Amino acid sequence: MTRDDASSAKSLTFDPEERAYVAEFDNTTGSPSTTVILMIAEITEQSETDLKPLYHVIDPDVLDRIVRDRPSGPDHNKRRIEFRYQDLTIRVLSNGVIKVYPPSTRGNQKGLEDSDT
Amino acid sequence: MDLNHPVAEVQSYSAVTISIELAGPSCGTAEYGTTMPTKVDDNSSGSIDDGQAVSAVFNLLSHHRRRVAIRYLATQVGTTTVADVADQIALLEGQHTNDRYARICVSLVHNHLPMMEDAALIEFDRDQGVIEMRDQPAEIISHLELVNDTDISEESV
Repeated sequence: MTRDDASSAKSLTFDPEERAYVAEFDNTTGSPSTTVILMIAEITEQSETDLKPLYHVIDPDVLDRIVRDRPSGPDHNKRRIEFRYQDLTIRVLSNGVIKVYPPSTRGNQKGLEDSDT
Repeated sequence: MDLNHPVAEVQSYSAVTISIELAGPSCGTAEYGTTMPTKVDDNSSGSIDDGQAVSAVFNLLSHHRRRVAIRYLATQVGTTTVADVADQIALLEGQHTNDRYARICVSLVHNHLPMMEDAALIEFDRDQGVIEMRDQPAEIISHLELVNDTDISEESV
């Protein structure tokens, strides 16, 4: 089912200042929720299908709507969602930027999530 | 909620049936909407009068990929692979690239199938990558017949 050659999260970079992996979601090719999964698969070097279902952590429809149905005008990039997944902290901004923080940089939230995967 | 589809274009469903033939050797050839088996003791085909249940159904049907998946699974007997469902979606979205296909698989495994499983619509075996519809969801199918999904290439993904 998985195609390893398929795709990686596009333009995944590591921002040393923020200590986070950063990618910009491209709404012509995918949604924020699939981009998050592809990013994390690449960062953690796991198959996308081996990761715990995102649905059990956050409703991916909601995640996708924060970007797709963002308000127009000057406040269009002020919405954001942050959640923990696979021991990482993920922040999705409504302007399409996704940031993934490894536990060492934002590891002050121990116990918030199990790691049963 | 995304309900911006035109209603009352039920007759254009033939396109869905055509695409099923392209899906590969493991797919059945059942005509959509003709001879779907129903359980003798299934009396759930009436109206849904519980408000929360109605919202749950429309939430389920609010994404075009779930609508395609439910329609397709309703034509299948026994188990269906995730790859077959992904093929159906890729076909209807009109972009059968590797990248699109991989993203469709990810969205199925991480979003749509767990949600459908949560709604007790399907059984989803993640390890085997197979899906089986639990019962013929008559009321959900009747809602699906009100929307025309033959061209979903413009849907956001």
